[in-house]
Amino acid sequence: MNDSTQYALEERVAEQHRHHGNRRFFYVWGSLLVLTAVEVYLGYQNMEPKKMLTILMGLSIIKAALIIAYFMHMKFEASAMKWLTMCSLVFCLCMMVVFFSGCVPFAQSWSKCSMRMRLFSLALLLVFWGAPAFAQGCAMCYSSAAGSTKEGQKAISRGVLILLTPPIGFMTIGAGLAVRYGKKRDDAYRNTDHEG
Amino acid sequence: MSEAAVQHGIPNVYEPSLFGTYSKKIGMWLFLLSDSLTFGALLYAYSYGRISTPNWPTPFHSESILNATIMTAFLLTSSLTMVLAVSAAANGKKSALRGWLLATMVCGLGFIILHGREWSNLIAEGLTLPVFPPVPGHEASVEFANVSKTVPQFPATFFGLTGMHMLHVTIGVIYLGIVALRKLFIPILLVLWAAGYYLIPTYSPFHYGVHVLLVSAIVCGIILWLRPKVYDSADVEVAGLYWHFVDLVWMFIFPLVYLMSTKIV
Repeated sequence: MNDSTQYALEERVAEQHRHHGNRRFFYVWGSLLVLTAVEVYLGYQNMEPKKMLTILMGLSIIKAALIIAYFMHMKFEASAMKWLTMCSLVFCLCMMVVFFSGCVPFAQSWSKCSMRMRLFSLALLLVFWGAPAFAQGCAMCYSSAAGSTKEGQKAISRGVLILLTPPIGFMTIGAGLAVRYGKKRDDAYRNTDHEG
Repeated sequence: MSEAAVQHGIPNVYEPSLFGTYSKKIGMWLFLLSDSLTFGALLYAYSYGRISTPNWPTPFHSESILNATIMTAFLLTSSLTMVLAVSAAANGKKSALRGWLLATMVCGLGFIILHGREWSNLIAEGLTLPVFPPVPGHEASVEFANVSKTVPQFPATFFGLTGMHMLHVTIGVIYLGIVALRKLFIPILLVLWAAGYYLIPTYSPFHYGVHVLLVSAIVCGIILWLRPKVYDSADVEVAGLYWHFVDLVWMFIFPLVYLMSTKIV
């Protein structure tokens, strides 16, 4: 991106601030303080933990949305930025529910599913997650790679493989250690049961 | 690469950004997305422990809740001052920018001090981890000592989650200090490190934690030496994104860790 584009973008931010004024930020700040006070009040109510967790997290999500929208200016960003970043974040956090289903009240039914079903869903989600990669079509990168010499193209291919090796290696070691630990733990439990 | 294109004066060599904004802002958003997954995993794990453990302790008395509420107010106010700093930077008001940045740092520092004081009190009362040395001259309360023994995952998750957040706030204050004062901030960091190291007693985890300031001073020194520059409004906005993220994460930690473990008399 060249300098003039950057200045134009900075000017846009300044214009947004001039247009909306700072009063709006004070309103958001006040709302956040009020929501915090409501949370503290709820903290002293003798509620069932799951119900309380749901209400408190709901309020926290509203607070987070206010911070992201106004303080972090997401409301004034381009729609591509808004949708891609927020959808990615929500999607990735929802994927964690697959593993931590027991802690989210509305996902309790997940804990009744078998582990195989969960792993299948996770694999399916990962496959869908990879789909946008096919739509990238970065014309400049592709044309510059296609325009280079055969040696250059070979070097790019090798570079991709080399860059792929460390993450896959680390993942493999991590997964191997996790499986080994799981087996060891199961054996220990089994031995304890026999002794018991 | 882009500098080379600009120097040669070739117009429209690069496509305009898909996101309609400058690259360092997109970079910061990507970092924040990845960091939110780190905190997301920690918060999910904490929630899991909270819900699935029937005898989960509720040790936070009203003093702790009041302390945490004031800490929350500090962070929310710091977000307001930060957004005013971004506004001042966008409108080219340099003195106002520096003032609002320093106000944000003061609020962040207030948060760290209150949090550190609370940690120290809890450790002295017996809510501790095996790696923390015992506090001499302090009798641990039976309640907290029992919590550490019967539900060890409580202190582990509490110190893990809040410690990770405290580290982020500390880095945020340093980041803002560098944006506001540039290389002038490095001697301040070093003085704070030396003072912290010699004044904080050796049994406190902060005696070792204060080394974060030394590491930060070295890293910031190298960055400023390699690429000295006057930070513009875009840099202030990017720093603001980080600061608001730190505030945002606390909006989840506060209810989950403190309010879900309130001692109701």
